[in-house]
Amino acid sequence: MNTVQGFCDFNIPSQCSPTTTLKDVVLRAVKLGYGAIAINTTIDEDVLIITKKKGNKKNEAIEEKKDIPPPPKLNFTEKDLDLIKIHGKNVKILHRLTVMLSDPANTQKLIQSVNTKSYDLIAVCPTTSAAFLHAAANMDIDIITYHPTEVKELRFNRKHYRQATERGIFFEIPYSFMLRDSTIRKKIIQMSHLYHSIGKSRNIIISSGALTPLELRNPYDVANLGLLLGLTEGESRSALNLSGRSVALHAITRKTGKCVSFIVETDKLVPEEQWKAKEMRDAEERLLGEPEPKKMKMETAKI
Amino acid sequence: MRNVTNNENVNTNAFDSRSGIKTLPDKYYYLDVQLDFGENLGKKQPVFTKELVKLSVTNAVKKLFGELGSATIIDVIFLDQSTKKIILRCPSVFHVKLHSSLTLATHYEGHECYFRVHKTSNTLISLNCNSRLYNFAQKE
Amino acid sequence: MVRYKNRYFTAEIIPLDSTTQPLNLKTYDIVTSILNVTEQIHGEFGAAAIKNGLEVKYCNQSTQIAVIRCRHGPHRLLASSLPFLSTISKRKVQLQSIYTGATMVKCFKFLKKFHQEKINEALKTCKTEQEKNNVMEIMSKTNYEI
Repeated sequence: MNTVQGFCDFNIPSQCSPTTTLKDVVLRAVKLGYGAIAINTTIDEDVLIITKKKGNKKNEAIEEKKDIPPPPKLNFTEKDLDLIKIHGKNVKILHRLTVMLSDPANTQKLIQSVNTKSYDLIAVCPTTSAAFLHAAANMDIDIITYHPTEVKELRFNRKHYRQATERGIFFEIPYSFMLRDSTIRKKIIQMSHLYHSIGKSRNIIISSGALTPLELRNPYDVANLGLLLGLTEGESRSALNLSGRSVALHAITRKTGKCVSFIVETDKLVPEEQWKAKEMRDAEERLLGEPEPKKMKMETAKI
Repeated sequence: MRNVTNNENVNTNAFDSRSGIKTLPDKYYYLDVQLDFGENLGKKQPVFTKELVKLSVTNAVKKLFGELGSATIIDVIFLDQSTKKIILRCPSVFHVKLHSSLTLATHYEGHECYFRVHKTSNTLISLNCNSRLYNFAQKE
Repeated sequence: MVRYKNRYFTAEIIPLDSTTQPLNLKTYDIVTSILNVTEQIHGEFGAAAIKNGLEVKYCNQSTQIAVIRCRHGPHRLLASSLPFLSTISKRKVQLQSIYTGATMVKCFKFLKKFHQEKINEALKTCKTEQEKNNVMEIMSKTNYEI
C-alpha cells in the first residue's frame, strides 16, 4: 500500500528555476531527511474553462487529455535511486496537482478529467472567498493552499474552517515564499496567524514550494519555524510528519472509497513489504507449533 | 506566536519544584550551525570570520524581529574555517527567535546560503552528540 | 464557543511641531504609521502579527484622541511600540497611551471621565462667566457613542 513515512514535503514545483533541475531539488530534499516528496504541477483556471467550451463538441475526450497535463515523469538513473534508498528508507515520490481557482463553477471538469486521476494528491489554491468556501465545503480535495501574490483577501469563519477539517482537508503553508520577499513573508505569517485564530491551527501542513535546492530547509528547522507561525511545538512537528501521512491516506480514499483496511495477496506484495509475509508465516508456525518456551519462562518466573 | 510571544514567561528558575532536582539556571542557549552554500558555489570563496558571521546573523535577526530583537546579545563562540561550522550563543528565551531567523536567512556576504541548524541545546557539551546524525543503515 | 478577544488602545495624539494647524487625522494614515513603527521595533514578524484585526475604530481631530483595535495576544507587541510612534503623515506627533480596554464601551466610559476632569481643570483657570460658557460650548461638541 502506498503509505507515507517520515517527514513530508508535499510541494516541490515541477517547474523549478532555470539554473537547476528538478532532480537536484529532489535529491537535496532526500539528503535533508524528507521521507516523502510530492512533485507539484500547477495549472491555471483557464485550462478548466477551455475544456468547458470545447466540451460541447464531439471530440471531448481528446481535448480534455490535452488540457490537464499528465504528471511529469522523473528520469532518475540507477545511481540516484541508490542514493535515495540509502539516506531514507522508503522515499515516496507522489504527484500533486494544484489548481488556481477563482470561480467555483469551473470545478466539474477537474473532477471528470482522466488525467486528474493519475495524480496522487489534488490541491486547490482559492483566489477568492467564494472559491475558498466551495473548496472547503464541497470539493473532493486533499489540500487547500495559499499563494501570497495571487490571493488578494480571503474571508472565512470558524464554521467554514471546521467544515474543511472535518472532511479531512489540510491547509498548507508554503514557507519558501517567506525567503524571497519581505512583504510576502509578512503575508504568510499573517495568514498562518489567521489560521491560528480562526481554526486553532488544526489540520495544517507546512511545505516548501522551493524552486532551487537552497530554498529547502531541514525538517527540524521547519518545525521550529512552525512556532513562529502560531503552532505549538507538537503541532508544528506533526505538521511535517503525522499530518503528511493523513494527507496521503486521505488521497488514497479518493480512489478506493472509505475503508479501514487493505487486503493484498502475499505473493503480490511489493519488495519493500515482503517482510510482512515472512512475519505472517513465522507467526503461523508459532501458533500451530508448540507454545513458546519464552512464555513458559515468564509464567514460572511469576510463581 | 503562542510560544514566541510568551517566551518571556519561560521558567528560568534554578529549582524545579515538581521533581525536586536542582538544575543549573538555563541562562544561555547554544546553537550548532553550519553554513551550507550548496554545490554550485562560485570560485570566489566568501571570507569567513567571526565578525562577518555575527554581522549577517544580526542582520537576519533585525529583519525578522526588529530593533528589539537585534539588541539581544548573540555571540559566535566557535568557528571552523574548513567545515563552515559555527556555534552561536544567545539568551535562552531568545533561541526560538534566533533559530527561526537563521532559517529564513538566505544570504551570507552576497552568496546564497543556508544556515543549517544541526542542534540546539542549553549546555555546550551536549552539542557534541547529535542523535539526528546517526546512520541507521542495516549492516549485512 | 471560543471568544474572539480584542484589545482597544485609547491614545492621545499630541502634535509636537510649532504650527497651529489642526491635526488632519485619517484612519488609514494612523494604521500605516503604526505598522511602520511596529516593523521598526519588532520587525516583520511583529508587523505581520498585529496586522490581523488592526483597525482604528474612532479618531477625533478636535480632542486628538484615537481608539485602536488589536487582537488579544499580539497586542503586547503593539503596546510596546506605540510610544515610539513619532510621525503620522509627515506631522511630528507623540502618542500617549492613556487606557487599554477590552471593549469599546469601556474605552468611551473612560474617555468621558477623562474629559470631565479636563473640563474641570479648564474651568478652574477661567475668570469670567463668559469664558466658562465658551469652554462648555466647545466641550459639548465632542460626542461619544455610549
